[in-house]
Amino acid sequence: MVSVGPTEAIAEEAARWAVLDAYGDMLPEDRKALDVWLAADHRHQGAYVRAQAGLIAMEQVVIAPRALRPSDNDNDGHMSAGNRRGIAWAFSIASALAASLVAVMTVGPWSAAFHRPAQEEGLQVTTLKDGSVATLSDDARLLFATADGIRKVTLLSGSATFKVFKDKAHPFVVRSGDVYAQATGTVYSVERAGQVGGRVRVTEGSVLVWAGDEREQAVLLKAGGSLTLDPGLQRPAVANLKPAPALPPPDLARLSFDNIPIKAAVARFNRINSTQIIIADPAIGELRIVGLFRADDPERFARAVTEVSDTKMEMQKNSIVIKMK
Amino acid sequence: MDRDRQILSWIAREILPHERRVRSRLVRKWGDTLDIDDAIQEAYYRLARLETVDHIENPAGYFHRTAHAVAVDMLRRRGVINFASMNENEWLNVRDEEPLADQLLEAKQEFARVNGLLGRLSDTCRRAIEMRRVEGLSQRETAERLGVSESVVRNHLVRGVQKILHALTEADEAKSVGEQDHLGTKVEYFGKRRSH
Repeated sequence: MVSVGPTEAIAEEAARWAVLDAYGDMLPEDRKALDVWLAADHRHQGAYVRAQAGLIAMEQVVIAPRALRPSDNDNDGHMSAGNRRGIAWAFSIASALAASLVAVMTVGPWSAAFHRPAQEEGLQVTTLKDGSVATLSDDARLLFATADGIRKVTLLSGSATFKVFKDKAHPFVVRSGDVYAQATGTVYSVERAGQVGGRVRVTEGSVLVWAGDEREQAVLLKAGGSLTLDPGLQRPAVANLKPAPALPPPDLARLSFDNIPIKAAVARFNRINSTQIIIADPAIGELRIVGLFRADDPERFARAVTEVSDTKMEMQKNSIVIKMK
Repeated sequence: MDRDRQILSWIAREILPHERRVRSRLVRKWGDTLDIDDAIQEAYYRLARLETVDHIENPAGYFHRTAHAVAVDMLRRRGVINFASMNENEWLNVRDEEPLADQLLEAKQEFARVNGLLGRLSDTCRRAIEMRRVEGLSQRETAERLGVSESVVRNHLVRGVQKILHALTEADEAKSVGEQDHLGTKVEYFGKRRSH
């Protein structure tokens, strides 16, 4: 696409119009000139809107501090969805101090060890970025990251109890060695066991626990239950049968296709999912596909295929059929 | 007009603070093939055409999606088709499912940046805003009080808007990349560091 004018010039022009409109006295000829300018290019309209919003932001930055009260400044990094919509800039600026405190937590990978004063002897309580609370034993070390819609905790050593912030859309997965425990909102503790194992205890709700890539054989632990898995002790022989390289647990895995035939991509999905994708017309299978997909979501992949090949899909009991429209 | 004002305020509050992240994602994904500024402006154009924003639960995600759709359309117009629509899924997966808490934190960091900028706005700019918006003076009265012409007042305001937008969107570009580790994932460390 060819740019008709330097973008910065558009942005500056937009800012001039936004200020003239809000602060100046627009004459009819000014209004007409503005209309002509806006009509000339979508980008002018976009830049104008952006500049108007910038002006509002600036006004709020200038005016808001008058309304601030120290008591507003109690927000510590986590807000519920409920109060989100009501957040005004004034409030947010009030909590800028708190925000900068929180920012320390996110600065650099591995660089910011974050400590809270110990609440009880040997225990350290900390709030993870998603709002979950982790109580760490004295020797506990863990990493927290969110990626691909999954909240991932890696327990490097010791034990930790998690009060998981309820968020169904984002599984909270604790990994201890080769053992995984997944929940969406509950209380459970995980402790390192052996070289690659983990002990999971559930206090509230339920947690799915599995070892390695055997998520299909996960055990559902309910409140009061506990389970120790140490795959290091009994690495099953079937491991040899697994395709190499072994996939991470399905929920965490993604399939990446770099311009391969759809039929090949479908084969890969079908190999690891019980829901099978069936291509009704071979011509569809010959089209090529690019993308990164959740390995455990054949339906989403199938939908993408229909988009790219202009076909339709039909859901059946244990299969998804992709066919010509 | 009310609708416009409502949407503009929403953009100021919910969208602008995420522009930097949207930009850097566009750059990372399509830096070589796409004019990012064009895409961003087009995205704002689309947002401004919304009848209402009440239904948008996740403005940051919506902004990311809109920008992505713009990018796809731009590429599509140039004949790069399937590649783009496929990557849409990837994009949506990554962004939409990011926990709300992360997005809020992101927005708050942006607010903090803007707050730091307050001191860099010219005195004329700040006073002009206060006189017009708080004291309700006219343009002429404001200029007279400040002892400058009306166009000088406007110039200060224009510079102010540019600084704010710049702070929100372009400054510190390197940092936003630096926040990611090599997997593109933000990682936090908890527990006692072992010194080696």
